[in-house]
Amino acid sequence: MMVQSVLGPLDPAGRVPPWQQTRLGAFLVAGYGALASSASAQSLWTHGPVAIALQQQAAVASGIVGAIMRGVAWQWDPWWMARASVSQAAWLPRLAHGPDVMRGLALDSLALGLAIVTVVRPAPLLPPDASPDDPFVAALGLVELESGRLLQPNLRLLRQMAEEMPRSVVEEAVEARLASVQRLWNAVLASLASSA
Amino acid sequence: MAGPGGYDVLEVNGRRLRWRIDGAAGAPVLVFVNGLTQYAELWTVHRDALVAHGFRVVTFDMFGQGESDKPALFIEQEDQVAALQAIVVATGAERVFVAGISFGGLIALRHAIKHGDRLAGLALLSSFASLSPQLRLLGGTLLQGLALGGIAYLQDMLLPMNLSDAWLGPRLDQLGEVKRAGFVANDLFALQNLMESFLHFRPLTPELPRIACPTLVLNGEFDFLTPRSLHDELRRGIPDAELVIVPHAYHAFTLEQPALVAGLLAGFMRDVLSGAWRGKGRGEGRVAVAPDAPSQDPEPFPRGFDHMRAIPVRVPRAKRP
Repeated sequence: MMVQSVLGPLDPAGRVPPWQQTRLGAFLVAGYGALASSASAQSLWTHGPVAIALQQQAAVASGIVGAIMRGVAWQWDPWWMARASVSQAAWLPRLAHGPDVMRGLALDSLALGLAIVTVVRPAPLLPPDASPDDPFVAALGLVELESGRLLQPNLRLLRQMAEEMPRSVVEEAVEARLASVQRLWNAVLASLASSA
Repeated sequence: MAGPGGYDVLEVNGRRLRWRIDGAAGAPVLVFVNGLTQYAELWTVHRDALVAHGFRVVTFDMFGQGESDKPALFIEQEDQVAALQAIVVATGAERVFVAGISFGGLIALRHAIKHGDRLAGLALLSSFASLSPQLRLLGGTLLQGLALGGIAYLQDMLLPMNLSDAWLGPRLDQLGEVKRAGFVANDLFALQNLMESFLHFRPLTPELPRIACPTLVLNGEFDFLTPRSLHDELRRGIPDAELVIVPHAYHAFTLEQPALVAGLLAGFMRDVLSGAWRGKGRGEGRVAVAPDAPSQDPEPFPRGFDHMRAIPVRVPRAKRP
């Protein structure tokens, strides 16, 4: 779904309203935080290019979490607090059917990375008149750029896995993560488009 | 009934394709096929002009583009061919014209080889049947640029490569808006998947003789992404093709000169439908130059000169027709 300029209108200081920053920021921290944790853990017991890709995924995801933490003008958000438990459960590792446990967890971590990067694209949500010098806008720009750099190794490793194990296993793992992340993202988008 | 913005959804092999058809029922049908980073709305000016000329026009987002489904992991060029064929069937017309640009030209070419029986004519704009060393290396660089720098970086590379100073100059201050539209419509993973569908590309050159319908090949005079040699390969390989060189144009001339492109396509379709294509000596390997005015026919390339050269070099006497 093509979504644009959901954020705003800008407040008198030229900022995206803090409640929108908070809600989007909390979602990004939860998603990329889960990815950093999952990828970091899986990279410890995998080998070869997959281990390197997972390590890169963990490093980039950690960097994004840090940028969001610094870039957002945080405020109290009861909507997010009410959803936190549902959202947190969705990010937990899942074991793909078929392969051994370790490969299944590595597959899930790569699938989670692909799902986050493909589904969650916050930069186009910004209004055209948002200043690139604003810390929140800069942080979303960093998400766009850095998450994009995860993509190529991620896609190639998943395709490679699809040659080493039944393709349906990889497809199911990816589809499950895509559907799960899409559900969460749709809820955030809907709430961002509503009033505070 | 059409959905939002006049677009409908067609389901093809379990995936959703966004498309629309405009023009009077029963009129000759033309299907536009997008370039890599394009989306259906970029044909709006052409579409309206051709509908005014009495044609029926289809525009759609390919898989991975705009608001059609964007497969996350696996997408092959054959999937796009199947999508195009589904669109052709959905028009209800027995035979249609298909016009594709760049990546869309390649898909149109594959479609014409596989489903030529449904084609009244084919227009290939800024297209290619093989990857020359230059195009292969440029494509690899564009893909790497996309992977490392994202969509914005790809746009920064493509805009000056594919558009003229005459178009860019007056718009330098508005390029942010131009880029934003493409930035929002495109997704990085989808573009990467589309570009990586070239990783195992095999030339279509040996299969070109199978295309039996009249074919118009349009090449920008200064297109260096897909230069003259690649278009001439199409002209020589397709039995009833005509190469028309578009003066002053670069790779993305459909964006720069929509009225001229619509006029050239309208003239091509009219000539084919009326039988004048042959009567005017068009096709069968002719080389021509596009006019400045959309209403005029292309003029034959000056006799005795080499259309492959940028400077006026005479064809060696032994090779003259």
